[in-house]
Amino acid sequence: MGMGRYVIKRAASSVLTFFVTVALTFVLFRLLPGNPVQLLFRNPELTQAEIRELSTQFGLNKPLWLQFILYIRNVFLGNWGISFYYRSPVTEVLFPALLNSVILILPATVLAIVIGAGLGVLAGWKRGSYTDVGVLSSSLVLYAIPTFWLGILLIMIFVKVGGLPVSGMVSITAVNGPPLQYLVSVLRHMILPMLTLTLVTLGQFTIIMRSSIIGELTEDYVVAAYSKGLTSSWLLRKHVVPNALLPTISIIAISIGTVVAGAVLTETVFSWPGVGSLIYDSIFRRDYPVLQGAFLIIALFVIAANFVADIMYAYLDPRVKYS
Amino acid sequence: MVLMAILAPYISPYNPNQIDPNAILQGPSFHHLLGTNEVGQDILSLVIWGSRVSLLVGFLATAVAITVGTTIGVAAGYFGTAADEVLMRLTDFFLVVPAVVLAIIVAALLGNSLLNVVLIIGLLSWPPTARIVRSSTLVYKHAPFVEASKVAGASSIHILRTHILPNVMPLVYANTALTIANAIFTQSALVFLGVGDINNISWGQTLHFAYSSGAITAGDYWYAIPPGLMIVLAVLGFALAGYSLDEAFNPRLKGGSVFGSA
Amino acid sequence: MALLEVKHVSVSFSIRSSQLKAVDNVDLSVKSGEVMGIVGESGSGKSTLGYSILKLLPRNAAIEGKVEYRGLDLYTLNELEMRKIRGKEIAMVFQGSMNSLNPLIKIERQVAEPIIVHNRLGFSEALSKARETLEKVGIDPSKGESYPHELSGGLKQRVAVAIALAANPSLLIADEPTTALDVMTQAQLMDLLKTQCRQHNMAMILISHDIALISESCDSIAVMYAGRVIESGPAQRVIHNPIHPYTRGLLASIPSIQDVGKHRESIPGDPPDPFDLPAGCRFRPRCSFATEACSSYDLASFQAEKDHFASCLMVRGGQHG
Repeated sequence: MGMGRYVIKRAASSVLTFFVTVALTFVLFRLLPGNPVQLLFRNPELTQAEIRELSTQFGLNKPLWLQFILYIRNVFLGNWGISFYYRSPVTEVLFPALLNSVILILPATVLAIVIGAGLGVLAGWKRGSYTDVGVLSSSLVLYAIPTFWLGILLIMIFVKVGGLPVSGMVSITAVNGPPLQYLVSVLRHMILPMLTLTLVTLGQFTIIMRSSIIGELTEDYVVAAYSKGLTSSWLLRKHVVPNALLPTISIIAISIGTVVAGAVLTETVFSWPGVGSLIYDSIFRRDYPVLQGAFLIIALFVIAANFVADIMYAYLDPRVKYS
Repeated sequence: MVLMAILAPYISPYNPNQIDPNAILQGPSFHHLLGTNEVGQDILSLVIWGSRVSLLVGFLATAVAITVGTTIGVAAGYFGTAADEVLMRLTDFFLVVPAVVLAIIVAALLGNSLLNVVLIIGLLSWPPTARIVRSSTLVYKHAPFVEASKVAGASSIHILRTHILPNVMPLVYANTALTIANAIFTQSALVFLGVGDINNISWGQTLHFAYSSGAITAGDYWYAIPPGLMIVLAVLGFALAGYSLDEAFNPRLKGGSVFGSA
Repeated sequence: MALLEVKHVSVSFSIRSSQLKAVDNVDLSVKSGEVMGIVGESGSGKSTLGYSILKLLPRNAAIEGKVEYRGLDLYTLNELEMRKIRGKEIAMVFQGSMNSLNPLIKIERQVAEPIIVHNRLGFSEALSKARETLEKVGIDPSKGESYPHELSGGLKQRVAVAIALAANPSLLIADEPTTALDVMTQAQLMDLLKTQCRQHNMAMILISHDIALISESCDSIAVMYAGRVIESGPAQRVIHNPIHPYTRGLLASIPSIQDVGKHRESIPGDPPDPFDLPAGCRFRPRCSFATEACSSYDLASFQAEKDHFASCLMVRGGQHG
């Protein structure tokens, strides 16, 4: 099977996973006790016209299976409902929040993967040394620290010593200021949440990379390559690290879910206006369309990350026969 | 730590629910070793009592996860083909779906209850167990002693009970500790966000009130540090136990590498 | 002068606070261009001995003794100096090359590595030299862009030979190079190795459990048992005039066409537990000639004829070696 067909097959399976996710949200938001659709009619914030509009959009008077089909259709067409709180389409509410989340998550994840992989290589290569013991135990501690607690600790420290903002994304004075001032303000607000997210995800990447390196070092080809007279750094750079990175791609992809969970908590603690804060606020506003939309967008994000990882793996490993 | 949870009524200095309007947000003192919160409850007592719910949820949710995971894993591995395909698709789905986010939303929809939290965490944490059990079942399914038993006419139930499960379970036990660690973690996160089970005293609950009452920004360290530290210790303890069990049961990890770094 | 002299080499592994002596006081001498066979059962220490020459042992291994290459004691060299020996002076072909090639790197690049490191050539020059080397071992250079998993077991082993030959070493250590191959491929590979040795005046230490293979291919033979060399000498003498009862047993176990249907001798019993070696001669429990004296024998080796030694009291008539 060729690469093209493999990509199509994986894409189809990702779409299927997303489809199941959509079905799951349908079940969650309709069939559970106290479901939001019933709440919809009791919501005092809505006008009669809006209720009528929503009723037709969701087809609430139709049989369940038809509702399901309509729901699927709406999700794929981008009709994700109207926010109870903002009274505007969910997609419009989600989009800026999503952008803010990506601004935070992307650099934090890249940083965590790069530093984590580096430390993992170091610890795995020097297995049993003091470096290894130090790296491994700090990784385990980082892994065990709850995201929100680390955030709390950082807030407490910086409230005392000052120097960095501990809440929000941009200071009031900079909102209407010149672009450069705005940018600097955002970057300064970003430091603590990014640090939190990087640290809590760093530990697991280090542990994953370390065990992959150790596993790779037991392979026969490493001794064989060493017997050629290669330097340790050549051996590490050209043989051990590339080969050890490969299996970590799929493990990292799976752990993207935990990164997202960490991001939700980080955003909440630091009041960073991303999807996580939106979820937190929507819970208390009982803004179910936004909750549903936020979950869908996160699921879409994670599924896409896994899809990309699968393709990358297939592309990088010559042994994969695309089957 | 388990001992602390069991002995909570005897070792905690105060009734954790007792409110003392004369001692609000006090720092550590001789009367209140770890200080008090915004309604005058003793933090040390809160932390000691909090271990009960945190550990209970950890254990119960893990019991749910292990039961579901083992059943699905054995079924997929033993019965194979169609059942395997469907069950593993399901497992992959739950592995990919952001479980914590889903847990937050479901907990918010279902409302406050200890049982809900246990069920939600349990029903979202079974996929790793299912995977491990499946691959281990596949190994033993074709083991000579199982084939021999089949030839002798033993029923599937009998083979599963007497041959496969006893061999698969050690790996499950190793996984149990890690699952408990994750469950404690998730529980504290849910409660911190104010969803799930906010009425019972737990470490996550104490942190929730520490954050929402503004004690954090006021710098009341005695309020926020102890419960968080307890979570770290609990998670670390169970995770380390899990790793060492895994090392003991997983033959592939034994021994050193043939090659030592130079 | 001998090309390689192994003098009183012992290797022990520390395993869970106890010591396992895998190689015990071994002496060997390989002349330039000579093919020496080391034969023994699995666990006899023959592979460990091979690895110990290039110091390729895991960290829990302790080596004693001397390995002199062209008069230079390899065990006194530091890592940097040792790297100039590995691959350039002494190269290795490993058991089961399916695992000794990196699965993610094209084979021509793996052959080029020792050339880049030792001959200080640029990447493209090294690559074209690598293709020449591949051709030398009978692989079409157009296959150089293949990955290991795309090749058959025989071809992979040829790649491993090409890697070993790439920097023109003077000594090749081949550890069970043909074990995983079928009989025809085995014969072809042995031909290739012997031809290369002759053409480049390269010496080879051939390590194998297969006494038939060793006796067909080698100039001299060392027989190992429980970590020790128990008999050594020129191939013809050892084969036609074996002294040690263990060597005799090994030779008697070779099947031949004439013997079909006849009962073949095999050696009764198992090799000793390396943690619990018998006192005196280690072969004593399995030996049908064993006497009282064998249990207090100090394991010295005796010279039977010129260059032919054996560690057995039955040659006490000969001169003490």
